Amino acid sequence: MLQVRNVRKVYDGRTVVNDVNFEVAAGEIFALLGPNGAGKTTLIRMITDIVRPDGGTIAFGGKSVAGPQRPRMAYLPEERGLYKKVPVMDALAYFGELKGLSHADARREAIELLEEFGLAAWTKKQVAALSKGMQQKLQLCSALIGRPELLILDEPFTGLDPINVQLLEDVLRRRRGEGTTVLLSTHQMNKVEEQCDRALMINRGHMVLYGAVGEIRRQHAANEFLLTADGTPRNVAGVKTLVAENGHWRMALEKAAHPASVLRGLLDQGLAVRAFVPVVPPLEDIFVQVVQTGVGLDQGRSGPPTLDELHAAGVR
Amino acid sequence: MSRPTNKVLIIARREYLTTVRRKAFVFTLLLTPAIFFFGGIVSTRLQINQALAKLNETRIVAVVDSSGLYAGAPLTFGYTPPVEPIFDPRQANKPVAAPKTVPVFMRRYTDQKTALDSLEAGNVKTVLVVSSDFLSSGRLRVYEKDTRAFTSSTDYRPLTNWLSRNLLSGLTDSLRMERTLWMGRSLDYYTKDRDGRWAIKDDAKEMAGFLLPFAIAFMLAMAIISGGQYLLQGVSEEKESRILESMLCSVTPTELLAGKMLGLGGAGLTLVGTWILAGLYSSASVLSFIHVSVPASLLAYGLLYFLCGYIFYASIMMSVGALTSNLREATQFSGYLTILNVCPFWAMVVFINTPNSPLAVAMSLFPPTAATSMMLRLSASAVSGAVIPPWQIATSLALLAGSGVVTLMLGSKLFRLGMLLYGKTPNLPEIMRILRQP
Repeated sequence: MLQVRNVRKVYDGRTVVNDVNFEVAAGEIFALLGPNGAGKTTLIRMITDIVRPDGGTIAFGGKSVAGPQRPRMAYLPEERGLYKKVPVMDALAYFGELKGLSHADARREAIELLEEFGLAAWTKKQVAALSKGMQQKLQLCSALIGRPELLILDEPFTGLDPINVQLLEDVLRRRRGEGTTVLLSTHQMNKVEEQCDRALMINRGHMVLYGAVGEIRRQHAANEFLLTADGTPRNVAGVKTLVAENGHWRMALEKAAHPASVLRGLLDQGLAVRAFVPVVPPLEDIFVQVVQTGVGLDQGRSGPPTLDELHAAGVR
Repeated sequence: MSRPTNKVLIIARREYLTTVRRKAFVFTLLLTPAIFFFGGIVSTRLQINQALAKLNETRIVAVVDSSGLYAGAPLTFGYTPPVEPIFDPRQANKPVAAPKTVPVFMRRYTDQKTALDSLEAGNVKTVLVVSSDFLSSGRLRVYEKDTRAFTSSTDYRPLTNWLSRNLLSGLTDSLRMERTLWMGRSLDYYTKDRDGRWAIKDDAKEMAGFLLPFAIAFMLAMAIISGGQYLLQGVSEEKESRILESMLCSVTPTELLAGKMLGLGGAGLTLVGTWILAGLYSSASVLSFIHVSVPASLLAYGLLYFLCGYIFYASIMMSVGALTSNLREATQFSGYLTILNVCPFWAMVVFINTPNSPLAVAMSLFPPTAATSMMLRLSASAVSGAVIPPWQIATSLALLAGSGVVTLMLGSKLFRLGMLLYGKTPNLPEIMRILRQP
């Protein structure tokens, strides 16, 4: 388990990471979200012990990441590169050896990964001879080699075609199944919804969202439902607005109205209801609203804003 | 999980092999000495051939004798140059061929203008003008159509011999004449040798006394610069390719740094060590012939100064590579460091002639110039017999090693944090802020 406790980082008197707390369980895919300049990279660099925090502790498996026994971790930064003038196999096996594999094991695991990512035919080619997408896959291989316990990926889907995106998703799921902890930083919110169990969002160094992805979305849902039915619904108690939308009806319920009462009312009208689904906002909408409204940024506070604070700020 | 030392060795091995397998390294390893060797041979051979051709060609000289002192002098004679000493041991036991006698034809001209016209027309090769007041002033003028930049190699001895011989003609016997003409040829110059005994000063040894310190100090400076440059290049390339952040997850900056310094220092040492061994092997017979030996202690000091100097310069080079945004910018900064390392050569004559002069002592104690300066002094003393006080060697090494540790510590921090500054080179206040980071 990755445990980040009250971590703070100050550059030139400016707090770029402010009292951040979160945990990531073993075998979990966890999303680290935030707008550009929010402090994500600094936070990751503190987790990887490239930068030391000014306050707080970071531990993995109960041991400090800055301690003498570092956890097996891998980091694929957003701005990444490879040694260009060396064969693919050598470039990859070198990373394996740095992660503690023997020379032979590093080469064996490199072959497995290259096969898994469809690069086996390029083993002896120079890295510079690979296409951009292939290099991207090789960079992923360099992060995955050595079976890291903690895998930190910053925008791993960038530059991959849909087939390779699917391939990477499959690999991540397999790694999660094997107990690897994955920290995923991305702006592709659909990928977060598909892949991640939980998420943390930081803005200007502050935690502004933290929890299970589905729960965050549900918490931010307005009391709205999408109705699919044969016929036209008439006035129902508890329904504030009713708008036809692409063959459905979008219903905004009053704050006190219970969805079950509204559904019963619709059925009582004799309407053939085929679907009555709550409208859950996509994570992207929540992201935009949270950043634009700047909730949870007041100085001196600890932890993400409460639901009431978010609602008070207009975040639904 | 491998131990930290293993990771250092893995990095060192990779850096070393990647560097020595580069075509540029192989070319430098083979071509640099080849260029010096063949350049030296071809250049020397050309100069010798040119000088020999000049010596052996028939001289036709127009003489304008305004003094009248040479009115009765013979106009045709043969000139035989003296036997030159041999420095090459391969030629030492071979029989010496007698010098060739070159015919010299003197033609009298009544005035300078006619003589110069004849020179222009190619009828004569030299015009010798003996001024009317020659006996009191000694002034002579020689005209030649010569386009060479330097005239020191021109052999005027046939002319001066003819002038001297005929000036003294009838005033002395032939033996005294010969002694006068070749005065100094048989002068044995004695100086004290390394053991304090009087010994004939050897021209070849004197040459070695200049070349050996230069070669050894030059090689040391090259080794330090090469290793530092490889490090600078490697760090800059890794910064440009953004590869480092991924690596720092698996290794500590100190391990990465130590591995790089070890591997690339080894590459620099391989380069220069090969040159030194090849140089010593090829010059062993010459050094032995002129009784100059390279003491083992000198090589040991060379290795020590390389280690300390390399750590000092490599740490700075690494910081430059980590802080600058690209290799071109890094190379510009490193140029100044290279100058600092080789600047003792500017005062090389002082180092060789007076290895214990205040300038030599000061520069060999000042860390940036210590390695090159002290090796110049030590190798000069190996030939001349001068004694370098041991306290100076110890202090110089201690100061250089201490400075190396400090630059290494500061360099590690600058490396760790500077490598993360993409696209910009920090200014001095920013560098100071980086150094204050935990």
